[in-house]
Amino acid sequence: MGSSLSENVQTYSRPPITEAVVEFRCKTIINDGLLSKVNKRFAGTYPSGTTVPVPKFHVHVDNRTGAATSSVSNTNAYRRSAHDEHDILLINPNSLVVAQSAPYPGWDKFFERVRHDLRIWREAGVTLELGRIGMRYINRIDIPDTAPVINPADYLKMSLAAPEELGPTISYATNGNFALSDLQSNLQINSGVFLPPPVPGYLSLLLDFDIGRELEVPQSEDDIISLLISLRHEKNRIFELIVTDKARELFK
Amino acid sequence: MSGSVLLKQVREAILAPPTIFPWSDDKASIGPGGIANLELQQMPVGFNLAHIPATPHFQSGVGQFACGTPKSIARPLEEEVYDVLADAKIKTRLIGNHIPRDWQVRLFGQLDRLHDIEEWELGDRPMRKESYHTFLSVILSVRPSVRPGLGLSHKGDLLGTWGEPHDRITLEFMPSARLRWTIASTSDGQLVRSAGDAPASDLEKYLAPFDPAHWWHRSAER
Repeated sequence: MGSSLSENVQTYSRPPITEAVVEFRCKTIINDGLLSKVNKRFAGTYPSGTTVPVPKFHVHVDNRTGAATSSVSNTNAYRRSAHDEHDILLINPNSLVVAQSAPYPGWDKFFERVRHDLRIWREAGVTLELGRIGMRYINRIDIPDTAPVINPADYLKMSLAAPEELGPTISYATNGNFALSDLQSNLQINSGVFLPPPVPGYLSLLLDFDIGRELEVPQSEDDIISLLISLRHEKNRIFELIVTDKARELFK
Repeated sequence: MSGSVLLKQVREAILAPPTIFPWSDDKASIGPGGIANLELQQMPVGFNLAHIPATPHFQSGVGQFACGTPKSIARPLEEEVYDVLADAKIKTRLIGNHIPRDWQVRLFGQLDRLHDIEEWELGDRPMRKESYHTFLSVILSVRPSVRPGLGLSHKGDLLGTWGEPHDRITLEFMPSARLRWTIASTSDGQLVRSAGDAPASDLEKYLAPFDPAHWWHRSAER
């Protein structure tokens, strides 16, 4: 199955993506021994790594007496990275997270990593049923701070609507949740103003997509790949619906 | 005008002490990647999540595992170094569109060399993350074309040096967006030293008498 498809996707020379993530989440927990084995399998691809203790809280209530006792134990998760934190992998007790920091290398390269890592994860022995497949793209649009007032609506078609009497805003945040019925998926969009701006001399707008499927989640590799391609298409389509030409000028 | 952002107010908001950089909040950058923090374990994947709302679908432990280890847990030095370098590199990548790519590569190499613990002496400490955040904010404000030499103070604060031995400025990038500078210059054949300490946002104001552009850009002759 081709990954690129070279469809009519708008590409940009300076994509505003600060982070891209794909997550495969299991319905149950991977045992410690297997998780450690998975971590070792990824050591070649991701040479840097650290162990992250994850506290587990246990509460036991005696049905007869009602007395409750609690205890805490630790299990491990693993964080691995390569190429100066460009490629990041989180090996969690219930999920595998493939993350890409900026600069975004393009879908083809990122997707190649995702496919490779999914295959390694499964070959290492993770055969649990998947409960969710998700994708997150965080975009930051940096607008030169050259005018006294900037109207986010000039850049994003998803911004704040407020009574004129309130005057200009200092910042805002919006959150929208949408059902993508064709894909049996859910989309959440966050947009807003970064305050304070990460880059002096610029106003930065956030456009953050979290898209995923929890119903009838595909389990075979081909079906998973197919879903990811579809999710990415939909994400791109919606991105283009939301950004304006004025925004595109900033990163094309 | 409704919904517009008035930049004067934004500037005032961002220049209010103690931070001029979003991730200089210590609580928001505990671990590798600065991803989420322990108070916000429900945060989803995100390298700069202090500013990005959680989404329920990415809540399940992702931010928690990405954020590293609680500070209260004693950790081997190697893990501390990994944590600091990961944080620094991801923060740099986040504003990577504003820093030349070749400089980023060089910068990462400098940071790696500074953290070669086989070369360390007893008592040496990894760079303080907040110091690096101050460094980035200054670099983004000054945008020097000359790349500085880098060092670490005994406290773990990053040091940046520009210029020649007879005409040199050294900046110590401290947490909470503060700077300390030392200037060595020559006057009538005598070496003269001066020093100061101020918020990073006031750097240009305090250095104006020294014409700092000649250090940053090597353009002005003195």
